[in-house]
Amino acid sequence: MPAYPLRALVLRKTKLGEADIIVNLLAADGRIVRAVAKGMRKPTSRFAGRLEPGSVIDLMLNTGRTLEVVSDARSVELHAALRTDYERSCAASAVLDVLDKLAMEGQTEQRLFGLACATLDALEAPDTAAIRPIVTAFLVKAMAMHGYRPHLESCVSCACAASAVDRFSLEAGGVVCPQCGGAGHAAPRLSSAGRTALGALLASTMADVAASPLEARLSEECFALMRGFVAFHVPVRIKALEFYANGAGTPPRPDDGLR
Amino acid sequence: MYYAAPIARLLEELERLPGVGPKSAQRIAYHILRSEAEGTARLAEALLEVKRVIHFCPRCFDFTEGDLCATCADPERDAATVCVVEEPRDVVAIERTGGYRGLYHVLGGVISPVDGVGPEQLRVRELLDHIAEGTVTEVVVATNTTVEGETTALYLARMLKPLGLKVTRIASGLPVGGDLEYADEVTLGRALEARREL
Repeated sequence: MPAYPLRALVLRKTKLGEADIIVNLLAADGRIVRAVAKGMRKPTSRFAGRLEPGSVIDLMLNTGRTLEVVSDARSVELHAALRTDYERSCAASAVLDVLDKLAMEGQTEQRLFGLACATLDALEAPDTAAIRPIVTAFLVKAMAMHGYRPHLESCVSCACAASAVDRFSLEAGGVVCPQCGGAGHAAPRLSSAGRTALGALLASTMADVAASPLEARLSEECFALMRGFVAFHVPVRIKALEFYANGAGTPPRPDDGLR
Repeated sequence: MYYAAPIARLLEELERLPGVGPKSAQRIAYHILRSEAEGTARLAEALLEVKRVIHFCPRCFDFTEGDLCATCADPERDAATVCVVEEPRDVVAIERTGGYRGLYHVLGGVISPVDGVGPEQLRVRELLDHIAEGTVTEVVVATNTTVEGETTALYLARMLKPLGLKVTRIASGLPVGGDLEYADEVTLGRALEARREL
């Protein structure tokens, strides 16, 4: 079978054997492709620097027996700024891990690739206050593309007016009024401002989110809600998202551990 | 059942080893069966001994036979410099250069959010304990130049710089003997960034 070209985003690398790597790729058409890059862990590898997670690359692939085989790679956008800042790096890992778990082999969702590239571009923005809102906007948009668009306009159960709703049902996927939604972890509280902010994140471009980040309190409220929403509906554990959410983006205080 | 039970057991154990598939396991098993009994006994004894006597150095966490590893026990080594590496095998790689005279600290991995590995799963606290002894002035971060290695380096730099330590990162660039035209943009870009005056 002849080699064929593919533009893709590198989501994840897994070591294989002595010096090979398996890369999980999100193709431009929204497919997940898994490919072997031979000898990539050797310093003399021709494309080791291009196949790092977060890089958008043009590949030449050969069809193998079970996995594709990378025969050439050229970089399109390396998102190098994400590797020079700890918080951005952790946020990008969360985004890539969500994509790896949401996108399925054999199924295509063309919009995911565009969303992924726009998110990684936005994460390179200089304002660190924008990182959390960008990740939240990514989660809400990715879930919407996956068929779980949060319903924020009226009660998702009885369709009563939006002014009466104060909780978000993770199961029903939208805001609920006190009559329809019970209390508890499956229906966390969502403030009116939080609901408006979530709607704005859903409707805004990533560049807009990066340019005018949410207030920190609202940003945390929306992020916590979307994290719960993703955990409720995606049947696998997304470790990088947990890592990012649990404050791994913050190294310990300088004197921590010193006597 | 193609094999006698003891051979099947040996094959099963050999296939657990990294990089050993069914064919390699079969080749090793038949080599053992054909070789002299003394050679096989030496191999078995070497395997048992390495598990019995080798342990982590309590200071740098490299493998050692004695109380401290040879590097930590050597008074000639520069105690002011600590090179942080991912795995014990990286110590061997750096020692082979013959150009480093400081001490080491083996983290035991790298921060990898997708695998759920955070700083608390690494020997970061032990590094802080070593630094707290007061002799260290420079920390050389020699983790791999992968995303995970860079993330770990950034984490360590953010944690250690406020302590007044000099935190350095090993340079990355072109391999010696490599052709410039085959270098990828990242490697070549870093080589240019870290250029030196002749």
